Amino acid sequence: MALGLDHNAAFVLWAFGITWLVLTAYVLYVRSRIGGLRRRLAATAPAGGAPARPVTQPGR
Amino acid sequence: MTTRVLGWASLILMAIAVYGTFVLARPDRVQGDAARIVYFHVPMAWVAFLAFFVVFVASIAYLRTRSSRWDRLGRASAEVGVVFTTLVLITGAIWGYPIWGTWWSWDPKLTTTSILWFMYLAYLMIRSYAEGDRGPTFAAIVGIVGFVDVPIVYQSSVWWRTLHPAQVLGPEAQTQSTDIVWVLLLSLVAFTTLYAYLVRLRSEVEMLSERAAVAAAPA
Repeated sequence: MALGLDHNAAFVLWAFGITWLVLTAYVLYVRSRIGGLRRRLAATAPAGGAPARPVTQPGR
Repeated sequence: MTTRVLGWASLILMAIAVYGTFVLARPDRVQGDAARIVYFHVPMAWVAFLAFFVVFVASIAYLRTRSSRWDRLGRASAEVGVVFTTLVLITGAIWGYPIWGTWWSWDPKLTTTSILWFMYLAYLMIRSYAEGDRGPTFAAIVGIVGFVDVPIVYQSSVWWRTLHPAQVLGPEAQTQSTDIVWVLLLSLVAFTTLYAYLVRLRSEVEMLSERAAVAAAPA
C-alpha cells in the first residue's frame, strides 16, 4: 500500500480526502462571496470611493 | 493582513500536521492505520466545540449590547462550526465501518453529536430566515441553549456505556503514548488556526453584506 499503510488505509485516505475537499471548497466559496460583495460595493460607490449616503440640506 | 497571515499559517501548520499523521505517527496495535483518522477527527471535534463556545459567548454579548459585531461573529462561528461538525460525523462514520462493521450506530457520542449538528443548523436557519431584529435575537437564544449539548457530547463516553473510544486527552483520558499526544496536539493547533482564518473570512462576508445592504438602500 502507498506510504506503507495497511489494508485500512483506503478508509483513512478517503476520510482525509473528503476533509480536505470540503474545507478547500468552503474556503473558495467564502472567498468568492467576499470578491462578489467587494465588486458590488465598488459598483455602488461614487467616484472618490465612499458609498453614497443620503444628503440632507438645511431648511428643506 | 491578519487574515492573510492566518491563512498562510494554517496552510503551513496543516502541511506539518499531515506529515505527522502519515509519516511520524505509528499505526495502532489493534486498529492499525485506521487509527490515523484520530489525528484529524479529534481536532475537528474540539474545534467544533470551540466554535460553538464562541457562538455561546457572542450570543450572550449580542443580547446584552445589541451590537451587530457580536451577531456577525456568532453567525460566522456557527457556520464554521457546522462545517467542522459535519466533517466529524463523516470521518467518524468512515472510521466506524472497518472498526465496528457499521457506518452508524445510535451510540451516545454519535447521537449527541448529531443533535449538536441539528441545533446549530437551526441557529443558521433562524438567523437567515427570521425577519428584522428577530433573526439575531432568536438565533442568539438558540446559540446559548444549544451550547448545553457541548459538554454532554464531550462527557458522553464517560457518563454512558459507549462503543466510541474514550477521551484521548483531558482529565478523563486514558494514558496514551507521547507520540500520539504530540501529533494530536500539532493537529489541534493546525485546525484551530484554520478555524480562526475561516471565522475571519466569514465575518468579513457579514460585514460586507451589511455595507452592501446600506449602499443599496434608497436614499
